[in-house]
Amino acid sequence: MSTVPPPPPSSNAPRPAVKSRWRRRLVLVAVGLLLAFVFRASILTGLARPLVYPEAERPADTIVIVGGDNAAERAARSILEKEAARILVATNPPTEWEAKGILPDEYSPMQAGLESLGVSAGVVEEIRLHNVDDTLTDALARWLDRHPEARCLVLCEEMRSREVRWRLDRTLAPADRDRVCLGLVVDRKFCRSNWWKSEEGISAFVTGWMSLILQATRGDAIDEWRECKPTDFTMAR
Amino acid sequence: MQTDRFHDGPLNRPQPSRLWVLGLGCALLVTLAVVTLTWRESLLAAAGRWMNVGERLDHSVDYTFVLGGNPKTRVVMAAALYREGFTRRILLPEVEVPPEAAQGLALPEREVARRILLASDVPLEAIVDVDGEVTSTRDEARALGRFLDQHPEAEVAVVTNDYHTRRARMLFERQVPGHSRRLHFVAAPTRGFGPDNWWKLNNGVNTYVTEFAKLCRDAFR
Repeated sequence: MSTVPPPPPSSNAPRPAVKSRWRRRLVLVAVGLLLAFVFRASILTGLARPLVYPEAERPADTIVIVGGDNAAERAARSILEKEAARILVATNPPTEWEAKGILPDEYSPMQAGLESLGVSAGVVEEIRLHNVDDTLTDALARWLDRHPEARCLVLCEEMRSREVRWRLDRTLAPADRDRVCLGLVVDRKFCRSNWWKSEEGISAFVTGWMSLILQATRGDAIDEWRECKPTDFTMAR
Repeated sequence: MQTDRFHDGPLNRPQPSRLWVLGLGCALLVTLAVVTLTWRESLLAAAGRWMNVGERLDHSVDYTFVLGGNPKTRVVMAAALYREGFTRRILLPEVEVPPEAAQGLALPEREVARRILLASDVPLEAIVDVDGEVTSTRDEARALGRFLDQHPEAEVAVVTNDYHTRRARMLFERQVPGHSRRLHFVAAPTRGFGPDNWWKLNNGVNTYVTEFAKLCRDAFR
């Protein structure tokens, strides 16, 4: 009696070793995802940490407001508690509407806002930017040249602090860098440890990272500020 | 007997070494990085231009709807449309009054817009207030949708800044699908920078990066 030889194994079927390797990989991915989910708070907080520049606050006689939704209240508190003697607010150069008196200037409302928090007008000082892109750090560098004894506390939103410190270090003369320290202002709606829970926080996180990367990689490729011309506002061909 | 080692079947094929795959991956990444860095300016400019879907009007429309924010460019553009005969009326949304304006420390945006329009030779009777407080572009789309429900034949130009036109068009097409054929998006220039140099100015980086982030957010909403 002749026996029929068994058919050769199909060449398309995966080998058991390959199958088990893929199974192992799937398990690893699943475990990784599970761990990422369990530790999501720590991971997401860790992702935001590089945006924050940890700097111990030092005594300062001048408060500079860069940003943060309750920075004005914080500055006012420092003045009322006699920790600082002066608040600097930056204003843009007036547009034609402000120059013609059609719109109010920028400084008056800021001063009035601080006055409403109990700050007397005499301690609020305006620093005028050359144009809307002339950053507050540039204006601050010029101001520090004129005030060699002043020490400043720059208030900024915590997730922009790395970028602000980086800009300060690029702009200020080495001797002036120690005269300026950062005061981190935490937004009322989010902070570095819960930014993913609110739309504003997500926006601040994404913007903070993209802005930091772009600022760091663009080098010195800075363009001139281009004011709009009347011919930019036309449909006429 | 000679055997052809490449035709023995898939099981006997030589497996690509892991190092080779890793090397290929690294080479691809490096190539991508070099390409991105080399053509960085062209890529960033292309991204900036992609954001602008503004169109040139070639005929007159019934209304021009000015989106909130940046009144010193958007409202000026709307006034130019009026003066050049491309629109008969200008619609102003009721932008949420910020706390400082509520305390009398700043002007409400609608008042700023009205002052600029009047100073730009737009008569008061050509300015129409659109009811319903708005806090976002989505709200503005809804407010215009309600207005268009009452004016079903109206053709409207929506004016916003160049970088904002793409997201505005996307949101308006979603919120007012029945009227979107009668909407035209007009781009106002932005003070200081444009699609071709936004990454070279601090304000440009902040503005465009925020807008890219918002576009991503709204696209998946």
